[in-house]
Amino acid sequence: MIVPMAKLEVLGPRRLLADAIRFLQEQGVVALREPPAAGARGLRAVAVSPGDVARREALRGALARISALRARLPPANGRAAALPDPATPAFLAALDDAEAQLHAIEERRAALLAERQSARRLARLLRALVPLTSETPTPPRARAFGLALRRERADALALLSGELARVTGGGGVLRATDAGEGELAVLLIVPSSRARDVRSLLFEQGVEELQLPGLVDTLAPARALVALAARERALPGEIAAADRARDELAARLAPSLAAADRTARAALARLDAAATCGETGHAFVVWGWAPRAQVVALSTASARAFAGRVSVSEFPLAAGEEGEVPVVLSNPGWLAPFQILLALVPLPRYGSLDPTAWLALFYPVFFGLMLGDLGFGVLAVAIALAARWRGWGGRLGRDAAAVGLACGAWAALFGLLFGEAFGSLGERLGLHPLVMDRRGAIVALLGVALAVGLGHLAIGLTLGIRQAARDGRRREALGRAARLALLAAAAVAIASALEVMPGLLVAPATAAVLGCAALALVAEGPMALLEAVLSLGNVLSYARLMALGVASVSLAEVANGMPAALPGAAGLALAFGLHAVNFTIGAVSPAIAALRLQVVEFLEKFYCEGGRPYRPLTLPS
Amino acid sequence: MERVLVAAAAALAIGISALATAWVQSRIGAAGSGALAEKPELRGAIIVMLAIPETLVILGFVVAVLILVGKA
Repeated sequence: MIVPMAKLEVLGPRRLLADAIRFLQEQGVVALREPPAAGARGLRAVAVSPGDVARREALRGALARISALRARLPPANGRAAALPDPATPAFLAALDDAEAQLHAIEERRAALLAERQSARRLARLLRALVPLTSETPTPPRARAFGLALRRERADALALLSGELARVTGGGGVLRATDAGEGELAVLLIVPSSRARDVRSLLFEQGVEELQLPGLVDTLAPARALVALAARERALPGEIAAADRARDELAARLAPSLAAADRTARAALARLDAAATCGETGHAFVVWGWAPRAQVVALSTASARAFAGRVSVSEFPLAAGEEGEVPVVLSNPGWLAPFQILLALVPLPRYGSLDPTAWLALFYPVFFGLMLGDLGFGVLAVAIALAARWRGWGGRLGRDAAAVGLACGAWAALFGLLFGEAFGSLGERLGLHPLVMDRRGAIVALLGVALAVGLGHLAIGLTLGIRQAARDGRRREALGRAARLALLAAAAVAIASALEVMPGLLVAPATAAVLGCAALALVAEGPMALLEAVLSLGNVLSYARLMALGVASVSLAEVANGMPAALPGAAGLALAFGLHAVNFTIGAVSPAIAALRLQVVEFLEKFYCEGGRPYRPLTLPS
Repeated sequence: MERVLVAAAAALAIGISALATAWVQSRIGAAGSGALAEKPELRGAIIVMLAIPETLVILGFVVAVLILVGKA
């Protein structure tokens, strides 16, 4: 059901405009609307002062900084400490302080993480170098270099050795060993007098010289290794301390930032709302929409809050204003989940029909008719119940589970009627077709599917006739009625020709078809004939009710034949797998096909789109 | 020979319509993926548009079944 809305005007003294907007925001039921094109003499749009413009810019800037800061902080609950007004310099100063604190913590943490990674690598390289230094001690007046070289550049060792011999006159020693993770640790011992030249050579060749952290750079490799190991053990604690500092900062700031974000958004919304209001020299006017059921409460609250100085008045809807009224759908609890099926189409226009009840009626039936299996239906019901109980997917998941529950129930019911449970397995359980055996009566099933389609479209066209008549579009109503009659007459003519109905009905039915076509042509013009042909095509589209059902049964038959074709565990596994595939396809294909029939074939016959979403002025959550 | 022709006719009815459906849905799917990258809220509408050409293969299936059942 589309909630009845009231067209409101809120009127009061000009000096109370800001308070009135704040009051409406706190009430949270009024959706503001654009000022009427032709206003009263002397009524003008509320002027936007330079102060308001500056405040709006300040609020937007504050919101951007708050969002950026909140994104860097881990989530935290707690009491929000009061922060200054987000549009004031004091708030920006508080943000600067918070950002500086967070930046210091993040820098410290990043440095610790980098040091941890570097220490691990250095320790690995030193572990490789220590045996080399033990085997090749550094003589007096000589300098030792520790180098790291990628194993892919192992051929550069020979080049380096040659260059080293050139620079040191043959006085250098180069030894290399594998250090793991694709690296070689290289020990280079050269005379101290050549150390500078060697360093330049290493720089030119792009060879990495191991730089030990200040803590250990004066130690011998073995002792440096021990010191690095101690540092590696200490680093996790320091990183954890930095994380705790960040979490404590988040605990202090996050609730306050969230509150400041809400305050800033509310202030920005009020500024934007003021721009849609009207004023005279002494009064203000706010135009809006609200659910009719809320108008009395709003009026009473306004009288209490402003001692009767601000009034809330309802005005009748003018002709042609339906397109501007915001739309809210409200249905009983058992029906509301099916509103998610309307998510694929725009909102219905205010004053038109809410198709939720029709979708709730036909969608599960079509799904059940296509799946039509007791076993799969029970499985679908079980999954839907589990989803509702576990709360999967939040509110959307709950609604989808409710829809799935109805679909599974209808699939189980049709499975009973068709005598199917996991295909022909139902026979072994004592199931027999109560209505028809889908495996044998394919043509009859096709007839049923087309008849269902004809009935479904007839209901859609009837709803369209009623809607058009209610809106005063008589020619359109007449055209739709003619098309409905044309469809019915065509169905009778075809049924008579196929001897499903008495053959003598062919002639009168054909005459009726021609007559209805002529009537449709008169009512809606040449397009009416195209619409009629399309409607016949729409009926044929319902053949998918048969096709998907027969496909599902056939796949189940193949699955049930696996144990006979492949004796043993392999056949059983294959049967189980095919049934699982059939269930998955059976869940997805009928769901989409049933939805397509509702949205494309059914809704097109009567649905009036063009509703505007209901967005009341309210406090941000 | 007649049975072979009947089977071939049914296979052609479903096969050609399946190929046509696959070709159409590949075009819609590619365009829909591009649209989704910019507007994720179109997901539902694109799923429905993908389902629209299924009528081709369903009618082909119906014709194939009618051919097989009619001759049987």
